[in-house]
Amino acid sequence: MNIDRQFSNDKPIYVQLVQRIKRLIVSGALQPGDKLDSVRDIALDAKVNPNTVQRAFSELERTGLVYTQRTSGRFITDDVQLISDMRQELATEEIEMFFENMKQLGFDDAATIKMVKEKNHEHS
Amino acid sequence: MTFRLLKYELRAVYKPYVLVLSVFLAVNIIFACVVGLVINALGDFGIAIGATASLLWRLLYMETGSVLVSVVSVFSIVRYVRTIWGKESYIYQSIPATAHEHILSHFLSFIIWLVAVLGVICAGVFISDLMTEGFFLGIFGFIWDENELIPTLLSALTLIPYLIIHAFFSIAFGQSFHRGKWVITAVFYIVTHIAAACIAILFGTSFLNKWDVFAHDLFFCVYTAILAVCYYFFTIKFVDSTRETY
Amino acid sequence: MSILNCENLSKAFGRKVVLNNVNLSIEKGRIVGLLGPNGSGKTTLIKIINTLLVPDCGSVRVDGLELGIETKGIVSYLPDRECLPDWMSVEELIQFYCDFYEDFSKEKAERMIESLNINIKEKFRKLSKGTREKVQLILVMSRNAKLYLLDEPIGGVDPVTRDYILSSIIASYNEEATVVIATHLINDVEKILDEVVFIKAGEIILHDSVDNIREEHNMSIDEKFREVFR
Repeated sequence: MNIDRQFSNDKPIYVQLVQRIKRLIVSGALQPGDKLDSVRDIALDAKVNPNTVQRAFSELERTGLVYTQRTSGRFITDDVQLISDMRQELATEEIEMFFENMKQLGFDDAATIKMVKEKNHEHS
Repeated sequence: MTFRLLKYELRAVYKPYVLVLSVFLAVNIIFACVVGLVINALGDFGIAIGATASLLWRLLYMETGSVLVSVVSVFSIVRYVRTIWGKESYIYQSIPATAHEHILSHFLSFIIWLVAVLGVICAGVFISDLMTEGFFLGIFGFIWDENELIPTLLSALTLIPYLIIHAFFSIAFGQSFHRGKWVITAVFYIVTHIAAACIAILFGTSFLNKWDVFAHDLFFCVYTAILAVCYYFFTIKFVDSTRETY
Repeated sequence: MSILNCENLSKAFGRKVVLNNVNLSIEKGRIVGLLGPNGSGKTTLIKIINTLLVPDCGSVRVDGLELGIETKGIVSYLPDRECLPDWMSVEELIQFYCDFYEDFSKEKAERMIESLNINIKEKFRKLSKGTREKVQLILVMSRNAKLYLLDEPIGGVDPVTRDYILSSIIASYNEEATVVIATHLINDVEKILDEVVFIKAGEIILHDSVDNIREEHNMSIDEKFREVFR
């Protein structure tokens, strides 16, 4: 399990960890039912505080994406529906952020959509 | 804990001691062999040469002895300062040991090296004596009167430990100040020394006429021993309550 | 329960006040950054907790105990300078720690030394500076202490050594132990901290969790530090 060691300054590290692990799950890098590395391993790997990793895991458990089996460790949920919901959610967030950024550049929503369509034609 | 500390104190300085003492013993043996040969080979003339050489050698024993005792004292004081206030204090003061255990280990280490040095010097005399078939101690025998020897030894046995504890105490006192640590140490050392001597003389003179020399020496020993014990406890107190590492 | 509790701690050297009425309480199982510029009193505070200095007034309790033999047995201290008896070999130093600390794990120390390819027979003073720092840290972290006090563990070492030191701190961490790291190199330690204590001219001006500071101010500890100490 590879987690980027660079963290941005504006958000707590555990929040960034949650986002990264979510992306790993949604993108399929972590498959449903996969076992997660231990807190200590991830902490050592990403060079962060073990309590921070612990907190990120608790957060993920709250969403249901990750569950703990008392003896054998932490696993990714088998609930494919939940993962696809999460994919949807992340996609929505990404789009909203995109529109927000475009607005700052001076494009309203309609202009943005138009540009995206043109760009899409170029691609295909 | 005291003995574990002591073990490391002994190990910290054993190399130079072992070196110096073995060189001393080696030179001593070679010298004694030569003197022995000269006496045997040259008869009466040889004895005259041997006697002169041995007298010179006796002087050398005394000088080597006092130099080595000073070296032992200096090494002990250096180790004491270094482990309680100096560079190594960071590690030594972090060890779960009391000030009492630290100081006792330094004191015991001093005594052990002192005994070792004196022991090796005595061993040197006896080896020389053996190799010259009794010639050496014959020379020594007429230097020391037995009646003087015992009180002298007794005084030395209390005086030397007293002096080192006095040094420990003065340093502990001086180190508790923020500025002028070493000036205060030196002044304190001299002043307490004079004070202790004055008290001894005052007491001593009032009894001097009634007591013989031996009783007088005994009084002196008891007095220094009591002072040493007091100094020892004051040292612990200062090390414990006013510690300031560099 | 708090592992470290300082109350109204003050210390002056001559006329210079180094710590002024410091109150500090640190919980078990945390990695805490004691952050401040040079001369702000970090080292003095750590030396007091480790009984290398006697405070002018105030009290310190470690795991509920008054400072003394018992607390020395549960506090593992890394000084801000080299202090190991340099005439010993690495092997002898390990034995030295083993002799004096009941909670020292000889196997762990030897394993860590081996993993760094340090010759265990080598005299301490013959090692390179970076290696000496590593050996010193290994000895400190090989104890199973309740409170680790690390004074400038990453000051003056190269980035690779720095990474190694931070990893060893993370690897040695457990829920029963608290690690206090005093440093002014905040950027390097920020990610491994739970909470931070800002100390300025002998006074504690901020004590909060890293997450809180990032959430409330939207800035890293490093940025916050620069803002506070500008």
